[in-house]
Order: sequence, then C-alpha cells, then structure tokens
Amino acid sequence: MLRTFRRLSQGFFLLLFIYLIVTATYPLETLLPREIFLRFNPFLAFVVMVSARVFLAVLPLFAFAGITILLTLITGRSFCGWVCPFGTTLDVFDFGFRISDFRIRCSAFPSGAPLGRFRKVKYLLLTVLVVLALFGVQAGGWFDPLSLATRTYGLVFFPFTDWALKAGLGALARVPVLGHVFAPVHDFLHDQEIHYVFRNTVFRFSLGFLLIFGLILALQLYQQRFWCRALCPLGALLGLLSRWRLLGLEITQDCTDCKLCEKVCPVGAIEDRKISPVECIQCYTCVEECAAGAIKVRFGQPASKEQVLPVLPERRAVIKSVALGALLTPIFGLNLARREERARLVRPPGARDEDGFLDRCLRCGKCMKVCPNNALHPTLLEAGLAGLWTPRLIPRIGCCQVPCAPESHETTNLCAQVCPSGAIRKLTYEERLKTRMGTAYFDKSRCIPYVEQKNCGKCEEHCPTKAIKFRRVGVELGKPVQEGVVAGAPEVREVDVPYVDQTLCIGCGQCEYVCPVEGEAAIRVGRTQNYVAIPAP
Amino acid sequence: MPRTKLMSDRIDRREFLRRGAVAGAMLSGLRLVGCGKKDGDAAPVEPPAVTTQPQPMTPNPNMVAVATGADAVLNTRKVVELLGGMKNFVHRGDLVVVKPNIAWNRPPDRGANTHPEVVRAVVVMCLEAGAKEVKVFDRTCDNAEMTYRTSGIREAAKEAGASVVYVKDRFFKETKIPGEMLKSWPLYTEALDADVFINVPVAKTHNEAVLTLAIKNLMGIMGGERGKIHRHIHQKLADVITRVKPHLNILDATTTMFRYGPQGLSVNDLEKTDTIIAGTNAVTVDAYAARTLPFRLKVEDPLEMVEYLQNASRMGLGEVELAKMKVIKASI
Repeated sequence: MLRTFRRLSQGFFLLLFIYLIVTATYPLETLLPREIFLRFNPFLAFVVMVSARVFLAVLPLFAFAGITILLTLITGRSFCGWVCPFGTTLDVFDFGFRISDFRIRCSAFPSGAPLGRFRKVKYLLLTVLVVLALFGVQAGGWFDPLSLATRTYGLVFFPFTDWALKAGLGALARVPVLGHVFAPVHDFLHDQEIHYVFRNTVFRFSLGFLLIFGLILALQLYQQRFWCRALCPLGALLGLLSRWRLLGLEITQDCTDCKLCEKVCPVGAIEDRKISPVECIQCYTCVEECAAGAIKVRFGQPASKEQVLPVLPERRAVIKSVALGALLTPIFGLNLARREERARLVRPPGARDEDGFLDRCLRCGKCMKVCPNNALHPTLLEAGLAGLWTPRLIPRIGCCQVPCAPESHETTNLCAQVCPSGAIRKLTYEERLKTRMGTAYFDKSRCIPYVEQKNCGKCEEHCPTKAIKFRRVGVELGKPVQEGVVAGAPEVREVDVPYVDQTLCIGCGQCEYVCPVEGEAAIRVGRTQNYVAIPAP
Repeated sequence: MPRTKLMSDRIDRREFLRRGAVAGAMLSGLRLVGCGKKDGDAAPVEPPAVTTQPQPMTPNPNMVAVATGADAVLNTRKVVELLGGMKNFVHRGDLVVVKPNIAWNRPPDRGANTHPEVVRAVVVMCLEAGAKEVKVFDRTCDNAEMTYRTSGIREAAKEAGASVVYVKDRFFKETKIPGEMLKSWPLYTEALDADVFINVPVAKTHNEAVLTLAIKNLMGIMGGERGKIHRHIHQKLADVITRVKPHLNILDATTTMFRYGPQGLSVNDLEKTDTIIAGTNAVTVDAYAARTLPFRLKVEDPLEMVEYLQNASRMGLGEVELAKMKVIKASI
C-alpha cells in the first residue's frame, strides 16, 4: 500500500517536472513558476548564499527550501524517495533494465558488490563543494540532481524528442497517401498558439549532457540508485538532516535474519539488521517485502543506539576533503580559453557582473530552454573552468528578441523570469532597451559593401535600436573603399557602408543572426570593452 | 506449446543480415516517395500549361481605388466596393489566402505590420462573399509566434473566422521565375495555388528597397535565404512580379512610416495618413502610393529613387505614370 502511494507520488512529481520543462517557453503565462523544483532545493540555496556571501537577498528566492528541510527533519530522505525527479528517472530506467534482462546480461558488472562501499563518497563530495563555496567558487550546480535533471530533460530529452516528432510527422506528411492523415496532425501541432512543440531548438553540448547522463545510467547497472547512494550531494545534505528523523523504521524481534531486506533496499541502507536513517529514502520496500513483517514504521527516536547503522565518513576523510576543496579553488580561476573566444562571451540580458553571475548561476539550463529564439547555450571553457555550462548568447544560432515576453508581462526578458537564483535580473521594457549585453563590431574584410562595393543593409533592417548607420561613400570600382573619392566620376559608384554607433548598440545579436555572408558573419557581437554593471536595486 | 521468440533470443548472422536488408529497403523506399529530400533537390516546378496566372478580375489593371477617413475598416470596405465589391474577386466556395505584412514583433500602434483591423475587415469581406476558407499567414522577420501575437493580427483574424497558420517547409517549392536576374526561387504553393490571393501590405520606407509596399510584401511567400535577395534587390523585386500576381492588393496607409523603416524605432517615425489604397496590379498600386504618400524621399520624382518600379515599368509589368492611372477616390 505504502509502495503504491510512493509510486504515485513519484509519478506525479516526475510528470509535473516534465510538464514544467515542456511548458517553459513563450509566452510563459503561468501561475506556477516553471523553475519551482529548483526553489525547493536547500543544497543549491546553501552553496549560492555561501559563495555569493548574500543571505537576505537570496533567501526569498529559495524560501521553499525551508519546506524541504522541515520535511526532511521529520520524515528523513523522503524527498529522495517520493519527490526527486532525477531519482524517479533512474528508477524508470532501472525498471526498463530489469524487464529486459539488461542488467543480468551486462556481466562486466559484479552483482555481489558490498552494499556500502561507495556510500561515503557523497559526503566527501558535499564537503568539497561546501569548502569551494566558502572560497567563493560555486560548483554545486554541476552536481546537483535537480540541476542535472533540468539540463538533461530540457537540453537533451526534450529537443531530441521534439525534433524526432517534427521530422517524423513532417516526412510522413509528404508521403503521397499517408500524407493525408499525417499532414493535418503535423499542421495542428505546428500551428498551435502556444508553441510547446516543434520548437526547432538544438543545444550546444547536448550530446555531452547525454553522455553524462548515460554514464550515471551505466552506474545503475552496478548498483540500483548508485547516484543516490554514492554521489548525490543533495542526498548527502538531506541525509545529514535525517539523523534524528521522527518518522523512521525499525527492525523488530520478529526478524528471521533472512537478509531479504538488504537485497531489496534500493539504496543499501540496511546491514546487519540495522537501518541507517541517513541513507534510508523512506521507500518502504523493506516493510512490504519482509516475509516476517518484522520491519515497522515507528514514530520517534529508535529505542537503542544499536539500531542505527553508522555510515558517515571518519574525521580523517573529511579533513582530506576540506584540503582538496581548498586546493581546487585556484584551478577554477584558470582561464583556459583563447582570448578571442573569451572576447565573444556575451551573457543573457540582465545578467549580473561576471563574479556575481558565476556565484548564482545554477547551470540548470532553464534559461536556455525558455529562450524562444534558441539563443542561449552552455559555455565550455570560454568563461573559464568556473563558468562551465553557464549560459551565453550565440547569435549565429539565435538572437535576443527585444522584447521577448508578451506585453502583459512587466518583466521583458523570459530568461530572467525562470532563473531560480536571480543570476539574471528581471528588466522592464525601458530598462531592456538600455541594457547592454555586448557590442557589435564590423568585420570589414567580410562585409559586402566594403568588399563587393554593393549595398546590403540587412543588419540595419533588423537592428531594434537603429545603432547601425550608413555613410555614403564614392568608391572606385575594384579598389578598396576609401573616403575622399569624389562621387560622380565615371569609374566611381556610391555605396552605403555601415558602421555601429556604439552608444546605441545593446548587443542583441540580430545583426549577426541575419547577416547574409556565408559562414562567420560580417558583423559580430563581442563583450563590451567597458562593461558597466547594472547598479544594485 | 511453441515458445514465443523473445527479444533476448540470440539471432544468427543470416537472420541479422536479412533483417538489416529489409530495414534498409524500407528506408530507401521512403526516399523514393520523397522523404528526406530538401526543396532545393527537387526540380523547379514549371508553371502549368493551363494558366493559373490570376486574371485581373476587374477589366482595368490601371484602376486604383483610394479611401480616406478616420475609420480604417470603413476605408477598407470602401476601396473594395469601388473596385466592384469582393464578389468580383471571391466566389462561393473559394479558398482565399490573405497575406498581410506580419513581419515585426511590434504592437499595432508602431505601424510596422498591417493594422489588425484592416486584416479583420478583409477576412470578413471574403467570408461575406462566400469563401469556403480564408487562410492568413506570413513568413515573419522576427520570431513568428511572438510577431503573430504582438501585432494583433492573430487575434483579429481568428476572431473574424480565418485560419491563422504558420508557414510550413513542405509548401515551399522551387518555382521557375521568368525574371531578368531571378530565374527560380522557392515560393509558397499555398499562396500560388489558392483560388484567390489577396495581398495586404502596409506603407513603409525600407533602407534597401527604398519603399516597402505591395511588391515588397510578396517577399513573405519567398522561402530560402531571403537575405540573398538584398543584392540587386531592385531588379529581383521586379522579377518576382513576373510570376506572382495577387488578385487584389489592399495597401494599408492608415499610418505611413517615413523613417527607420521597415521596422521603425518609435511612433515618431509614423505619419497618420488614414488612407487605404487598392488595385489589382501591384506595380500600379506601388507607383500611386510612392507618388502620393508622405515618404519624405527628398526627390521631385519618387521613381528616381524607387528603382524597382523603374524596372517593372521597363519590363511592362504595370503602369507607373499617374496620368495614365484611373484613380477613384472617396472620402469618408
């Protein structure tokens, strides 16, 4: 019975999670914030607050995390067992492995692994991440399960499925006979007013994210819920809060020592007739599987200390982790990318100054998913190691639409509306027109008027602030454009050559997006040389 | 009882090859029926022998109807009435395509798109004349879903009873164009094959084409990389008109954008002209508008600057001299 409730709860939260991902798109007219799951996360709240050294401003964003903490203090790691969409995803794949005999056929993996071998790793990882945060490096976003799930579903599963749906229906719509059936289906999905599907989005490094997920999945073949028991820092934090959980489990005298519970526990929380409150995810599988009915749910602290399975790492390991965290700090300051790549790092509109941005950004990819123009993509090394997977604009793939939220919204940038940690500031329409993301510059060796001495003007047409202007010059045909050549002479033609008024350019990237030159555009957006951060409210 | 084959049963090499061959044949078969082909691969579509070139419904292509007044809807209805009424163009059971200018993610007061009330009036008239279906679409410049919504055209057209749709890849087919420079281009077949094609542009200046009126609005049914049209745009626009001939052009000059067109920077770039201009020949409509609307071109003869009209006139595609047009005016 309990197990059924649990499965229903897991199903509900996973479907809700997926729904929030799929519907995180224009026009974003919703009551429930699309990023609500991340706001319930106390681990992310903690690392953001510590590394940014900001408490009061960040607290309201993560107020719901208090609910998670309260829930954990009372019911232990029930979040892991009943809510976490990443855990549920792993369970779904696990189910798939089991019914297809996949796990058994992968004989490369030992099946009789000691249950608790890697348990301590997650606590040590948590320690390292906390120490890094203390030193000002927010690395939690890479390892957090909700962030992982948001990235994987939003930047991998959704776009691939969406593409397959569109390509499949599109192809079938063209087939002579079947087309009459599939064309209306394709057209219905294409023309729907709120464009949830057929978004034509593709994300840089999505195959990388798929591989990472695949790796975590491969670890499942070794042990069920390997991520949860060995690696998850959120699980480790919730585990630490679960030591004195009120709603627990105890193994009574009826136990026949058959060790069935040890085998069926998905996280290996039972050993030697003892259950660890720190590992147990309240799934109640043991309660229902126990043939003797010896495992009971109890309210209050366990009768004796021997009931509790000790799992936490020894002091020495913790100290080593602290040292590791401290040693890793300078590595994250490394800037390994070439200067040209770093000069093209353009952040989303309303992004904080780079340091504050890196402290807050959860690397969750929600802003990338919501961007209606598919303009935001994860960085790799352009922002340094510390900036891995933070969002940047790639104008050749998509440009920033000003405004991108419907008129009914006061906030005009959708990316800011879904950012859980406020790394991207919300802007009104007036503020948006004055917020500089970057500055455009011409590459005169590629621009058509400069090179071919013919008018073009596509960039000026699309510029929303009319920052691109023209100078009419006379050119001698076949010679590079020079000022001072007199127009009207027989070999001379007039050409309108463009230039950027840098006081007006907001770096939205429309120009680079539409530039008709093949390959690299003749006008590009780069990091503004004199970046002025928006003053704090 | 024979054991059913499970996925986990190992197959031998022969079976594997057999299955692979069958799968490969099926995939190739799909190719035969045209899946996976991009529009560029297909041979250009010839205009069919029986002419689907729309014949002008009114006898005189040089006729231009103009209505001025405070109410854009009344103006729109008036110009159509002056041209013989919508029944002159739309017959019972027709499939009508209304192609407004839905280009920029700007609200109606910015004059960057056709005014939604004008679109609504056109749709209503078509349905009143007995159209079976009225489709409204355009290939936008900005993000399509935003542009359709912010411009107000999606809501107005839908309320009036039109099918508001986005442009779809499979309807762009490479089409031969008897132009001087443009020989073929992917054009939208839903527009070309419709029973009635009504072009509803808005009056604006344009940095490259100088003006964007009825002819430039037809770029909305062009596929491919339209940025390439910008080179020698004045000849290519005239070339488009050799192949694409809307049955009716209704130019929305409720406001005239005279600066920073075709997007416009603010409402200060608009002059309130409260006019609607209509005609069956896009060249004539454009020439009339170029000569009479306040575009502030700073030349005596606007056609000096608007080279695409010079080209169209030279190619015999329409009348550009005011004296030779039959202008019918109404003031409301």
